Amino acid sequence: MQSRRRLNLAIRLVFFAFVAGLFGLVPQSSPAQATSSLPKSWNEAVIGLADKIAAAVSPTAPVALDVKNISSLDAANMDSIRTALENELRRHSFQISPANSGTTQSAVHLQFTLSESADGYVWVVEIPNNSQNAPSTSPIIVPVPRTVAMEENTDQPLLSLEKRIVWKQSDRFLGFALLQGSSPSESQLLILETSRLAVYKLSGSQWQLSRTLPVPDSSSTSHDTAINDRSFSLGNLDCLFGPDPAGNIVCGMSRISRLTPDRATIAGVPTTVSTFLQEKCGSETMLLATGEGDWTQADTVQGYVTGANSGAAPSGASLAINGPVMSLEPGPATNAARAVVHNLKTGNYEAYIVTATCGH
Amino acid sequence: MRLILLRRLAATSAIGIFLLAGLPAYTSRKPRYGGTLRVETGASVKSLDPVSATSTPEDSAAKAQIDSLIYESRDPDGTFNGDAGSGPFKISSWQPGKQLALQANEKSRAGRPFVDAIEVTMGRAFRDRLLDLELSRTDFTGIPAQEARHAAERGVRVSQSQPDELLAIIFLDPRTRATAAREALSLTIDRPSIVTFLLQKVGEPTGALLPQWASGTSFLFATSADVPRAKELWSQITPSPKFLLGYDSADPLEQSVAERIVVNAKEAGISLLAVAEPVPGSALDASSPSQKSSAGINAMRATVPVDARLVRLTMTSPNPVTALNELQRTFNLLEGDRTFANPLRDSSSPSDIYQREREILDTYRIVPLVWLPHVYGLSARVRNWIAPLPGQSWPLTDVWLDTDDKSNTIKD
Repeated sequence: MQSRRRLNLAIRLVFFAFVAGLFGLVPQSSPAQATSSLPKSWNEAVIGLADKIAAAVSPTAPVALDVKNISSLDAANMDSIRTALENELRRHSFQISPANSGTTQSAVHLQFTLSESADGYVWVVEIPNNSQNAPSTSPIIVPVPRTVAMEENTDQPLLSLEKRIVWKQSDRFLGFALLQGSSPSESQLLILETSRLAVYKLSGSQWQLSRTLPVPDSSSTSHDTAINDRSFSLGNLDCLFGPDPAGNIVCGMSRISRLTPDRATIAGVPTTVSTFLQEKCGSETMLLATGEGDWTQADTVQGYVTGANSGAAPSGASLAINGPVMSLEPGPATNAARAVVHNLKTGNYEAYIVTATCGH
Repeated sequence: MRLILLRRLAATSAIGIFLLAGLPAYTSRKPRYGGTLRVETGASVKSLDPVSATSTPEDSAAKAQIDSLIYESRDPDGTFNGDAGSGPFKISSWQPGKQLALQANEKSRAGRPFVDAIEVTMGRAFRDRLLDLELSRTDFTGIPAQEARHAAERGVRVSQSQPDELLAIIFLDPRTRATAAREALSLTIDRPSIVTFLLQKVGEPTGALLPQWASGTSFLFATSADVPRAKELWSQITPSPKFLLGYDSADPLEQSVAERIVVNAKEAGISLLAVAEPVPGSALDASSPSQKSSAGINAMRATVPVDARLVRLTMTSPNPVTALNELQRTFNLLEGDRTFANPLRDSSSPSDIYQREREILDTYRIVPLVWLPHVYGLSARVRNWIAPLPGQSWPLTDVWLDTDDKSNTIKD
């Protein structure tokens, strides 16, 4: 019975090892696989470090990596970088001494520190002296950009943002809408101010005021406003103005309070002004969000993509804005958003169309 | 009437209502215009003319901050542009050395400040300023780094910058002392104890010329003492020299650090005497270019016969290359020395910066001790305060006053 149990156990172990290997539970020894999970620039840094270590240390003795992270990198990244460097060192014929193994004491201990400067990450490897009398070996120092992995991974979507100014005026306005007509002359621009809705029509290349409609008083705040081609919301009011914004505005109390404070947040996206876009980037939803400054500071618009899991990740470079973005709404195109900006340099309020282009 | 908004229509489309409900469609708190920001300082600025000299580094730093409020802009070399009043504030009343009232400039090209006015009261002792903060009689004042913890324990709202002021020993005439002697003295200094006990854990012990947050390599320079090695080095020097270490008599931190270094040196058998220097200027000007700093060192050296001096060197830029070049210029201006004549290029790598730091430090002409932050005390109603980076002015044009909030428990 006992021998049979041992046999069963051995079979189980072999089976487990096979399954574990099949699903990647055993650490990979292939360098290419181990480093492919890092961004390109990080991979290059790892390769550079390994090359310099190989030039300074003889591979005859095993080496042990003592890793210390004093940067903002998380533990998962630290482990990936460590694994990548160990694999690169194996490619240089180094024997890596695992922690707590019998060979650790005889190994050359390389102190690998993940540090950070004002400009980016700084990865440092300190090599111990072979003897007390040997001159100290300069540490190997490699600068590494603070790259989000997604930006360098060609499999991931990359958003590029462009902005186009549509309108500016010295008086404050809360939102705007562009109504496309069958011809350019039939296009209309709606500017929702605090006390009126101004309707502009194209005359040549200029918008000319066509009419204004009074807006009822509302307990509005500018960041609680929405407008489209037939309606707008202003604080606690919902208003309709019909297909042609020439008639009266009819308003009523909103059934859904937009002032409820318990809005859910999206992991990875700052709790600032933001909006989803209708168009998708591959299979992922696009989201634009402003920076975390307040209304006294220049702002940015950053593109995000959301995957199947909850949460979103920044994608592409952010777009610099001359002042705080007061509102951000989807449209007029499915990959665009309308932004109202208070330009801090001129004092004007400006309307922009921010367009997100999906690339890889 | 049932009103349907596009916003809600969109919610029912591809994205789904959950995602729209999840939109965090709000910014930080809306700023308010108005109010008078009350500032207190220990400095006594006698003139606001940017080219006029000041008597103490504290006055010089305060004047530079005030000038940045009333002048439109400032060049990298420290020169202010435009006329007085062309900046975000205009002078409404001015009693030299005592009181200054500023009024918001509605036509400022940088935009109107949020506060209507700033009142600056000068010549206030730190204890009085701290009491005024506790009693909400002032909104903003500087706090010595060694007092930061004490102020926080008394309930004062405290804001710290990144460590950007280096407390160091500079050997004024290195040719009179062997490098080994300077190295031996350096090895006796217990920097962590200075930070733990004298600075109440504010600041970071350092052996580097740049702070860790700027260079990323500061940790490579040892900060711990090595007394056996110091003794060994000292025993090889005959006859044993005697060091005189000068410090600014008006600076209690420098005095306590100097006295601590004397104790450390004695443990290694090194003869060191701390000398209080009544001459102002040992704290190098925070906001001015290096010429002023080195001039300050030279001026004192001509009058006080010390071998070394405790100094404060403030970073003028968060960029490590710029900051190190600035420090190097200060060095090279001493005695006309051109040891490190070539500035680092802007494209220098962290490795280049480290090597240059190492070269300078290996001369033991400068011995870094501690990187200190600038510490500020704020009243609870001050909003939008961000501690300035090296080379930046106090962001008083951006702060606003929350007059509804009486809480004094907010911490940055």
